[in-house]
Amino acid sequence: MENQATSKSSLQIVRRFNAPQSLVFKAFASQEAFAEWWGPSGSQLTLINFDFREGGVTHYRLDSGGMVMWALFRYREIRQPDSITFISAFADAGGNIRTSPFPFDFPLEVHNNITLTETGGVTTLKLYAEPVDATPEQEKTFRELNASMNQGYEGTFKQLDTYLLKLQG
Amino acid sequence: MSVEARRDVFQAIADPTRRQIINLIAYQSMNLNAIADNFSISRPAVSQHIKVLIECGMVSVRQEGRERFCEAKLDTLKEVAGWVDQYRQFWNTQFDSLDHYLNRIQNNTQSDQ
Repeated sequence: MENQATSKSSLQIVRRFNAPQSLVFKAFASQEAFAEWWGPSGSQLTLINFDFREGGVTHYRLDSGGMVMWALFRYREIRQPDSITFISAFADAGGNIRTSPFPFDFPLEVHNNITLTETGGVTTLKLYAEPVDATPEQEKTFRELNASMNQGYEGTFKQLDTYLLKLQG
Repeated sequence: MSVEARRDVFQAIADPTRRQIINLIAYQSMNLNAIADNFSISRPAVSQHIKVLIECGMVSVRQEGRERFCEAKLDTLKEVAGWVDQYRQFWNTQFDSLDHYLNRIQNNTQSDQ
């Protein structure tokens, strides 16, 4: 029962940044900017894919003290300049969603919404996060996204198969 | 450039071998040899993983005669067991980094003018 309550819970964080809204938005939207700050300090970020648009996927790798992990964002709704909605998940090297590296209950996918409001040059960022399976509708959207993603990877793997067969031919 | 080694629960469990070690000793303490027997990697490599787990507060060592037994400190794991707390910590770290980045680029822009 306790686990159930935990997995249904949500998270809200409010932070203020001494920067205009456009700059904070760009920190998420521009590959160059994102690569500058994303990833915990002391870790090395490698952007395998960066595609900031609705339906796009950003897939990255983090190296930290000999450990490697992959994760991804799937952007669902982007409203410039004040709202970004995306699903975040742990992944493998191929961009397939994987369970978290934590040996406890962590949702497979988390639905995140970031909103930005600016007052006098100070931007307030609100992050709201909840597990993807919170509502049936979210689940449905995610399944659809997942299906199209899998098709994409299947195509890639088919090409790899063809290539490998040719090599061995 | 110095990369400060982080010693926390996140680091402890980010490695698959270390997760397996925790699972292995979660319900019964084991000595190093017994743990190492479960892995194809070398004994020193297993020993190194256990060292990290000890430093992260996930494992404690109990001396019994000539044997040293490794015990999982599950209370440490429970402290971070809620995903929300983990996620909050993750994002707060990211936002600290974003804050530094925003300050840096704005200072650069100002000094260019």
